[in-house]
Amino acid sequence: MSNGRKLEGPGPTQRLWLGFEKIINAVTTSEYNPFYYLGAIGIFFLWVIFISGIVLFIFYNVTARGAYDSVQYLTVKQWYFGGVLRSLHRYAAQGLIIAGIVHTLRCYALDRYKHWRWLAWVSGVILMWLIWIGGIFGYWMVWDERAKFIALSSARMLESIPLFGMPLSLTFASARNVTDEFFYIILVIHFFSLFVVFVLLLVHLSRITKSIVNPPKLLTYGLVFLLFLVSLLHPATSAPSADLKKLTQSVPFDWLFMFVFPMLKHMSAMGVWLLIVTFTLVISIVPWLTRTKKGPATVVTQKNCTGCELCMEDCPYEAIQMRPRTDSLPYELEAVVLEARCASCGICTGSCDYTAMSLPDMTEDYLKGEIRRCSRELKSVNGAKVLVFSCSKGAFEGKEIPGFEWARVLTLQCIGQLQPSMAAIPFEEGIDGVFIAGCILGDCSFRFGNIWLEDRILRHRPPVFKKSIDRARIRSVWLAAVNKRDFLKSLAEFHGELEGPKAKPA
Amino acid sequence: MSDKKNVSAGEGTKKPKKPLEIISFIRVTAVLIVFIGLPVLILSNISYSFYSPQESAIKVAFQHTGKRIVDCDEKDLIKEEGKRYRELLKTEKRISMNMGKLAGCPRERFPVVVDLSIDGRTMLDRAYKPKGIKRDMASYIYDDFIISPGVHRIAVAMYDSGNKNKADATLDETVDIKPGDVKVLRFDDASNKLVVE
Ligand code: HEM
Repeated sequence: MSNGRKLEGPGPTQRLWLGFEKIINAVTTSEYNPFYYLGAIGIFFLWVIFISGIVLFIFYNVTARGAYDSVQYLTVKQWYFGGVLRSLHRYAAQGLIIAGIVHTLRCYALDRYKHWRWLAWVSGVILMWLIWIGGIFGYWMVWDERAKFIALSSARMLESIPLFGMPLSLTFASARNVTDEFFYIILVIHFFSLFVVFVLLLVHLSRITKSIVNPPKLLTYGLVFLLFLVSLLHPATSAPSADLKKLTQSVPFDWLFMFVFPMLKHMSAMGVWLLIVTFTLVISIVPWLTRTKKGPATVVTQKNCTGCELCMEDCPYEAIQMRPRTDSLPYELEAVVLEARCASCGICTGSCDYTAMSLPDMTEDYLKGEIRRCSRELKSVNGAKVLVFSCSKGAFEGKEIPGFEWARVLTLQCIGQLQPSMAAIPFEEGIDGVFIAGCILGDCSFRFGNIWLEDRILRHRPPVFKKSIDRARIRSVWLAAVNKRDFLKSLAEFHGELEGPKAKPA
Repeated sequence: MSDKKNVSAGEGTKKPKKPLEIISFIRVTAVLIVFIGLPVLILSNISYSFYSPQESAIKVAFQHTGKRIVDCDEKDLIKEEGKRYRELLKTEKRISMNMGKLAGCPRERFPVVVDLSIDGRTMLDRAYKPKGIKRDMASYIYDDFIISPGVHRIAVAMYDSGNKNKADATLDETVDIKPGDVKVLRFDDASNKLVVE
C-alpha cells in the first residue's frame, strides 16, 4: 500500500476523560452534557457578569468612604434585587473560573490544544489571567476586610516590580491616603478587564468556525436556575468594613481568585511573580512541548474546484478561504487551504463532490480502492455483509472484528471525511449494509464531522446521500471511544436486521 | 422508513425516547450543582487567616524629602549669571549665557535613613533613596514588622542630611499594642516630629 495514514485512536488519558463524560451522558444525555459546552457556559457567565455589573455600577458609590456602605446597602436593605444581583455577579465570576479551568483540562485531556489550535490555547491562558485580574479588582471595590487583604497583598506584589515608583503599601498605611480617585482607578480597571476579556475572546475564537457560544436552551435554563439557587441560599456578603489600623483576621476567602496571596506567607513577592510567570509560560508552550506529528494539509486540485464554498462552510478551523478565480474556468471563486490552520481531518474532502479536496496521504482514490478491497474480501461470506466506516477517534479500532467475519472496518481520520458518493460504492460491490460509526453527537474531535455527516445522511446538508440507496441498508451510530460494547451491539443488531426479512436490493 | 428512525443518536441507541424536558432539566441542573455550584460554594467559604490573632504589626510609612547634598542655590546662580551677562554686554558684541553652569547646579538629595529598634533590638537601619532620575525628590519610606502584642519600647532616629552622627528627628516611646493592631510610625511634616499612631 503506497498510500494511507497511520491513524491513532484515543490514548489512556482521553479514554479516562471520555469514560467520565459517559457517566455524565447517562444522566444528562449527550445533548445537554455540560462538559461539551464549557466554553459556551463560560460565555454565558460573562454575559451575566456584564449585565449584573451594569446594575451594580448604578448603585455603587465610587468614594473611599461610601463604597463599602453602598454595597452593604444593596446586600442588606435591597437583598431582593441589588443583593441578588450582587450574588449573581459574584457567582457567575466564580463559575467562569471553574468553567475555564475544566474547559482547559478537557482540551488537554482530549488532546485538543496543539498545532492549529495553538492560538485558542495561548489566548485562553491569557484570558484566564485577565478574568483573574478583573475578579481581584472586583473584590477590591467592596473595601471590606477581604478587600483590604487583597489590596495589601497586591500592593506588596506590585511594588516588588521595580517599575512602580510609589510604594502602594505606603498608600494603604493610612486611611488618609486612600482617596476617591483611587476608587475610580479600581473601578476603571475592573470594568476595563471585562472589556478586554470580550476582545480577547474574539481572538480566542478567531480560528474556530461557527464557534458554539451559547449552551443549549435547557442547559441555559439550568445555569440560570443554578445561579439563582446559590444566590438565594447563600447570598454574597461583605466582610466587616476595611480598617487599616488592624491586621486582617480570618476572612471568607475566595480560593478561586485569591489563591495567589497565601503564597506571600511562604515566599517573597518576587518569588510569587516568578512562580506565576513560569507557570504561565510553561502552560502556554505546552502545545509545542508535547507536539506530535500532524497529518499533511489538504491539497486543492484546482481544475476540479467549482468554487461552491461547501468546503469552506464545513471546515471547522477556518482553514479554507475562497478567492477570485486565478484560472480560466468559468467559476467565480476557488478554494485555498491555509496550511497552518488545516487540521488534516478530511472534513472538506467529505464535503466535496468533485474530487477537488484531497488529503495527500488518504486520497479519494486510495479510500475508494480500500472500499473495493474490503468488499472483495467479504465476497465469499455467506449472508449479509457489512462495511463499517469508523472514525479513528470513535468506538472501534482495527480492520476486522473478532466474531463478526461478515464485516470489514474502514477507519477514517474523522467520520466527516466520508463523502456521500463513497458510501454508495459498497452497494455496487455487493455489500448489503453500510454501518457508519462516528463520535458521539456534541463531541467530535474535529468539532462538526459527525453532525455534518448525519445531516448529509438525512439529506439536509449538501452533498447529500443518494436517494436511490435504501435507507434500511445504512445505519449510523454516534458513540464515544469508550462505547465499544454499544458499537458491537448495534452492529450485530443491524446485521440481524439485514439477515432477517431480506432488505430489498439497492 | 423515516429518516429519523434510521439514525440513532449517540447513546440514544439505547433509549430512543427522549426523557421529558422537565426531567432533563432536573438532571442537567443536578450535574451543574455538583460540578459548578458546590465547588463555588466550597471554595469561597473556607475561611483563611493570613495573620494569627496573636500578631500585631508596626509599619514605618511616610514620605520625606532629604536635604540637598550640595547647597546650591539656583536662584542665586541665575542672578549672578545675569549680572555677568550684563557686564559683558557693555564690552562685547556676541556673548552667550552660560546655561551649562546653571544646569550643573546639583539638586541631588540625601537619602532618608531610618533606625528603628524595638525593645532594644534593631529592626531597621535602612537608607531610602530619593526618587527621581536625578534623585532630587522625596524618599518613600515603607517597611512593616509583625510583632507580638503587648507593651513595647520603640526607639527611632531619622537622618535626612547625610550625617549619621546627628539624627534629624528622634522618638523614644513606650506603646501598648493590642492583638491585631497596626501601629504606624510616620514623620509629621507640620510638627517636624516622628509620631506613632
Ligand atoms: C473562561 C474563559 C474561556 C471561554 C469563555 C472560552 C470559550 C471557548 C469557546 C466558546 C470555544 C469554542 C468551542 C467550540 O465551538 O467548539 C473555545 C475553544 C477552545 N478553547 Fe476556550 N474559552 C476560555 C478559556 C480557555 C482556556 C483557559 C483555554 C486553555 C488554556 C482554552 C482553550 C481552548 C481551545 C484549545 C479551544 C479549541 C477547542 C477545539 O478545537 O475543539 N480556552 N473556548
